[in-house]
Amino acid sequence: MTGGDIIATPSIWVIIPAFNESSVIAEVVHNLQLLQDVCILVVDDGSEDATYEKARSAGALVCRHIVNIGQGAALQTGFEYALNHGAEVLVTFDADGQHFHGDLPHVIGPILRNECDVVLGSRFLGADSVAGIPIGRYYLLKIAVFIWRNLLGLKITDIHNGFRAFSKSAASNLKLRNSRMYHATEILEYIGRRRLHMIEVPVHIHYSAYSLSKGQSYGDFLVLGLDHLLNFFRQR
Amino acid sequence: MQRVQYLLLMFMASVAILYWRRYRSRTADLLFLILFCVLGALFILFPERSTWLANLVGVGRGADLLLYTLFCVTFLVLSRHKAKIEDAEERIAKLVRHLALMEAPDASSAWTSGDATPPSARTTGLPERLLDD
Repeated sequence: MTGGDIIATPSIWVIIPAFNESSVIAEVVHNLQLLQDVCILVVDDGSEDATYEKARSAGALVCRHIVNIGQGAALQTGFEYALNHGAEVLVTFDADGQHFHGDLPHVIGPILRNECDVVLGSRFLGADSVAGIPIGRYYLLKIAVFIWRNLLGLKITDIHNGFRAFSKSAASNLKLRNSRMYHATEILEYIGRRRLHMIEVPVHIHYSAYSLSKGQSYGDFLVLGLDHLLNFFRQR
Repeated sequence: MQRVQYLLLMFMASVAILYWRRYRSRTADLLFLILFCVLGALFILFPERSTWLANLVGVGRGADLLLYTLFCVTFLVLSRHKAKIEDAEERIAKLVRHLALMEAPDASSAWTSGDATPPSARTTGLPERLLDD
């Protein structure tokens, strides 16, 4: 790495929380490495398989939780690590292969151009972004989005997408308390509460048998919905 | 709808809102505790009066009212337990994170030593590739 000139380049970090993704993590990391200019951090959330080893040998930096404490907590750990290393743009990215590395420039573009504080990836904005989505999941997400848009006033189309980008200030003030999947709600509340400027960009989601089996169950979505609702009452 | 139904539903709703996601209100805890101690004492001291109270809120028998109250108490206790567990999980998370960050490699050293693949260095300005938008 050359010397002082590096300061002119914004430090772009991709944080990948991972739990038991040894079969795909290396590929995910290698794909992101094609972009060359990003610092890749995998947060191994207490995996029981070889996720840590595979991520390391793929050339990523890896932080390791000794026990599984949840995706939200893994993101928080990743944020702190990245911010400690001078990150200026922080991107979250799923470890299961659902996200497409080619979307990354579009996701961080608005932040690099100082257009907003947070960019959220949305699978519902592009024409073909939802290829292969299971019908049930599609409608559940649509219902939740309806609640958020109308009751909570946040103009959003996809409330549960792990592909997000944060400016340094947006990330440093975010303190995720909820470890499990409620972090999605927390992030949205955080944006609303602090009136951060948020933009959505279309991203592609690749639904494979593997990623679907790792994803949320319908029961999880119902609980998530209840969580959104109760939180709505708490704000008032 | 009988009065008791309103009361019970309101009670459950307020407990749910107060204790969901480990928001534990000391005040609420204290109020509920006092309320149930008082009611419990009254039931014990004046069992025959329970019927009067029951009728007041639209329930036939004192014993039925007691049953409904017990149900509510169970709900409250379970909610508090849930809140406590979530609190504990948050503390564990902090601990695990602290450990993870302490043990994590320093990025620059890892990149220099070849342990991790460094981001390619650009000399000035924004990385061109990421501006292709």
